[in-house]
Amino acid sequence: MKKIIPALILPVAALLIWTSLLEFRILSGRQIRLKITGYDPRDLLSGHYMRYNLDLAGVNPCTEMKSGLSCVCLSDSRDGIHHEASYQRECYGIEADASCSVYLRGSCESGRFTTGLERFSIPELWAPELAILPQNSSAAISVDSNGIGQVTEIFVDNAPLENYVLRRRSEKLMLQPSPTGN
Amino acid sequence: MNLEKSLERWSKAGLISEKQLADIRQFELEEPSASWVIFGLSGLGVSVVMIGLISLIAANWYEISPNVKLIGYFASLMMIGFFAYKRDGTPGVIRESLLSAFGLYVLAGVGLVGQIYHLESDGYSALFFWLLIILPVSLATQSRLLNNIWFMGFATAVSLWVADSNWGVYGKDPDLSRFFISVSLPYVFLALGYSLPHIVSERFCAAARFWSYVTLLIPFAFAGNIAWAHADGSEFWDKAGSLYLVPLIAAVFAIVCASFRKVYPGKFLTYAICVTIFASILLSLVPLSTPIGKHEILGCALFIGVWAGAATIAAAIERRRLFDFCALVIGVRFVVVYFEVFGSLAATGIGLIFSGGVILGTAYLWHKYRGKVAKKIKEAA
Repeated sequence: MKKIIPALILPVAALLIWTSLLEFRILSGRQIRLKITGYDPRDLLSGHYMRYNLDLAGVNPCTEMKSGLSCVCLSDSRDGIHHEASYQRECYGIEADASCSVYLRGSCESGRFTTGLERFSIPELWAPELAILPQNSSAAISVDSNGIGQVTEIFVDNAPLENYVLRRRSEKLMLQPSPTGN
Repeated sequence: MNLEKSLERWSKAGLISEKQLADIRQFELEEPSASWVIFGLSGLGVSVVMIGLISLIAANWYEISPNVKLIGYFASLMMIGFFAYKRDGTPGVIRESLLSAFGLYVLAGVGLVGQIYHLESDGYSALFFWLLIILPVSLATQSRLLNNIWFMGFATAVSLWVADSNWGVYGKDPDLSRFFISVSLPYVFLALGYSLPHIVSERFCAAARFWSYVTLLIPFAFAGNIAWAHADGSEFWDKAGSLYLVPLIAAVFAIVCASFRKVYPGKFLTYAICVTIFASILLSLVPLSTPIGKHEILGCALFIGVWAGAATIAAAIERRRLFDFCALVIGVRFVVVYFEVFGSLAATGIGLIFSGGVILGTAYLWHKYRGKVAKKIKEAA
């Protein structure tokens, strides 16, 4: 019976460590923001998620490489928080590249560059307001020193996504005719 | 109820005396064994409670902050783990329910963390992670249910992994290495199930053997039968190259481990296992690997051979219900053959009457002789 104690502790410890690593990446990573563009507003198969593409300003590491790892260097921010991709390069030795202070690591699949950051969980109640990805949307990402990012929030016109949803709902209510018909 | 009927039969046959009959009845009254009804009802009760809890939380899910969700989750996980530890030494419904709930709750936790941190997943990575961290619990416990859940999860993860390798994607060649690795896995687990019971958990090894046979007998055998009837394996053969050796080596490994097993020893059983494994390889791999052409009869014969092997194994280890089930599948396959050959006759009234007579006659003969067949196999084993 005693051998079950470490066996029961292991999954709890594994989940705790995993959660701690994810949280540490958010707290210690460099905060950037990247524009996002529409792809498939809701991924029905994965539950309540927004799916989108990261806007890398035309930089596509996968035009010549169909599959494999690749990295994208991000330019310095113009207004303090926004970034866009400046160029792509191989990930090997990227840490030593002084001109690439912030970079994102990803992989090419079928000619598309994916970083694992193209999904954001939303409440199902927000689905009507988010059937189409709002314009001027951007993703706040925390990037660690290895180029691995973590999405923390989606912004629309510099306001959190929740604010956008609430604003859209109030606009819809104002547009609805009153019960008396006036 | 079944026990009562059996006691009456044994008493009438003179196998047990009146005193023994009374003693057995008294014993069962004092220590009733758990029935499947209790297991089923308990499982249903646990499920309903869990669904209620989940519904309550789900209705207010996005109002709860991520930190509260995580703290609440880990606190409840540790609580379930504590109670599971307390009950582990006592077999029964409560132990099965707690350990299974713990295992599934860990899986829920993987999903929860993925949702809170917006993680991208292909599905099978999360499942493999869950399987890895829950494996020690499966090995350490005597719970049957948790071990079966583990193998069901493993089968699901492997299926998703294979499906993710460009099958059906236009202009892309599927990753055949994943396919052949997945085909070899039942043989690998069969080998582990026969060779490791005295080293790791017997329950885990028993589940490994069970699920390996289920995989070989159902998806592999049915797909193989269809492939023998329709497939031309020459194109596959050109692309796969030496990958065919992977399941072949795995099958040989399984045969070797089965031959040197300590669980259910016996030469006859060894032969039955080896023949079943060999027949399954011929059934599932040959039509995909050779331009041998379409041979419906050979495919049907191999299908029946695999299931007959399984029936023999079931009879040799005294699993009467499994033996009956295997025999049923063989019987149905014979009936299908009959309709495949004489199908057009069944469109007429006379044809249907004759077909029905064949089915009834087969059922009668089976009912009359199945006990003797099972007994002969058991004596040979």
